Amino acid sequence: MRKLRLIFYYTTTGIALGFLICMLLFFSVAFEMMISLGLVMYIFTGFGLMVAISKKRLDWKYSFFYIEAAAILLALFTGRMQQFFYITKETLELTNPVSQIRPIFIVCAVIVNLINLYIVLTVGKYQKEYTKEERKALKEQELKLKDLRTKLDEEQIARIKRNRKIGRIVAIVGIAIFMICYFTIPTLRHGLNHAFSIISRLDTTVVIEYLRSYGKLAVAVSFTLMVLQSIAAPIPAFLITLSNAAIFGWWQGAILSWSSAMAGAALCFYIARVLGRDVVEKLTSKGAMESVDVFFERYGKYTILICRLLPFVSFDFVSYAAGLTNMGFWAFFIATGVGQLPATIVYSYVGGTLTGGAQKLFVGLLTLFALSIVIGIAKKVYNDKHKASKNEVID
Amino acid sequence: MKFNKKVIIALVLCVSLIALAGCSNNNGGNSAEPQKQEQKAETPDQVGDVSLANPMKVDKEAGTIIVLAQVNGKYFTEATRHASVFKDGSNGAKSIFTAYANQNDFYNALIELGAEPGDNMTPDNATTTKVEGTPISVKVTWNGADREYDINEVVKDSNGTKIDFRFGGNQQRAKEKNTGCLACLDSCPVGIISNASYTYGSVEQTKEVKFTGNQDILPEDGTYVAVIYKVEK
Repeated sequence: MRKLRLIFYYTTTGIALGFLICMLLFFSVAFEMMISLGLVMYIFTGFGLMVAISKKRLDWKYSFFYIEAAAILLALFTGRMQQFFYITKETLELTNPVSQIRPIFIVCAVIVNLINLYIVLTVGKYQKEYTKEERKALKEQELKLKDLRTKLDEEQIARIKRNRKIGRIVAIVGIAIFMICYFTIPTLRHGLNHAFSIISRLDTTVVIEYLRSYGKLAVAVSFTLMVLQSIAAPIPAFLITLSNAAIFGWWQGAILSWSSAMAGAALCFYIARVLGRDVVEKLTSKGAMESVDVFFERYGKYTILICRLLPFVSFDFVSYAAGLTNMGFWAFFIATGVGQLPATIVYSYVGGTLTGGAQKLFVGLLTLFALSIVIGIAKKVYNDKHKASKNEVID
Repeated sequence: MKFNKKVIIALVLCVSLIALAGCSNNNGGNSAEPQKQEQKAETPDQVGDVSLANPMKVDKEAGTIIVLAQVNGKYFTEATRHASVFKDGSNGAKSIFTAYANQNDFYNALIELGAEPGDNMTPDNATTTKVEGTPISVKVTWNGADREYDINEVVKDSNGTKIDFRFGGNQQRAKEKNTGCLACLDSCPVGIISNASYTYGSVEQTKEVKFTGNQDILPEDGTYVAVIYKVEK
């Protein structure tokens, strides 16, 4: 019964959050035109359900009412109350007029409010309720994020510093050699400029023709282009992914695209780590930034996985940013590999970007998956903070 | 503190009930005005010669294509850049008239009637180019309407500029992207017909115009309408 109460409460909170986000979308015509309101509702309903599954007790017990109040007040002050019915209509793909949907919606809203009110008022029967002082005492006992930092001895720190110094020299020498070659070898310069101008036209057919013109060398050219675009060019990588699939077949193309993107990501990570980490380390040695640094050290791999799953987050930016944090290379590499797998396979198999309902479903599933990892991280952070606590754990 | 929270909850409930109940008096359409009920349809979706069973009719003699659609009341108050979109397209819920015929059949029908596609719009030139192609006039009617209403009467342009629909074409992109767009309200590299009065981005990026459905004339949300596209030669 307790789980059922949690599922109902958090799922309806997710729905309320979906309504609130949809209401916010109405403030921008561009966003409202771009994003399916139904998809937003499904994502946040799923999010609410997953929160319920992951939790053992009802925390933030007024969250439903706060979110609901925010959505209603927003709608009320902007004259958008009727949009609640249209959001519902769009989500459930109804063709009935809103005049028919309205009374059913109101009845359902009242019932949900009454049930949630009952759940909140009777919460003491199902879980221990803490007073403000008790909560404060528990909070004081839990570990801070910065206490969770992996302790390294002097020798390990010295080795890391030494390796980073060598890496810095290698990176600077590598970049210098590349720049010298680029400016002194005209064929290389023209070849690269031509390749980037071809990709910049954002036409898959042209990229396919260009790669095919290299015959057997197409694999190497495609690989090099993917790596170079990761480092320097803001060109969508899916163009190369689609071209690889068209030239080499879907699964061979997927392997080539996946491995070359991995190489590109690793290179970006390495450049940022050896050239930028020392500066970041000085900035994050104290205060709130230290907690952020420790967060990435411990949970960076999950964060990378989330970023890789979300198609609208820049692939290259994430690689560089990860290099600046304290997270380990292999954790980054594996998370990148796993995270970019679904999109690479789907784009290669479909042979184009998804459109219509399939696109919505795919983006929705990835977002939902990413949100579930967010819940996972929150739970893990909570558990880690309480692991060393000698007192009773809240859950 | 606990008491305060209960008060907040009670207030939220009261406000939501009052607001939602208040909303129920707003039908979001022109139902208050009496409309002629001379045309008696067998089913609500039967509007003249089109219905759910037969959502598109091509009349070669008259040079018209009639498409069954439903009024989307969401855009009586919100701005949109779509006049009519096929219900199963990715933009299916984003137009004033949700069409029951798809964009590919609509394109073929226009070709059948002798309309010539402009095909001058591309994603690269969209923000600086106005759509070309055969002019298309658009009218809308429904069961109980006293006449056929011109698109400029049922769709409001915040600048008061007349809508100038042209057969943009874009067959390949319309197929590939499957947005479902039949009629866009600014020049579009994907929509089959679009409005030559504005370049692409006028609604979403530069925000120089707002298009909304005219609540004073159109029937309530969900009403089936016939959208009549006429090829002007």
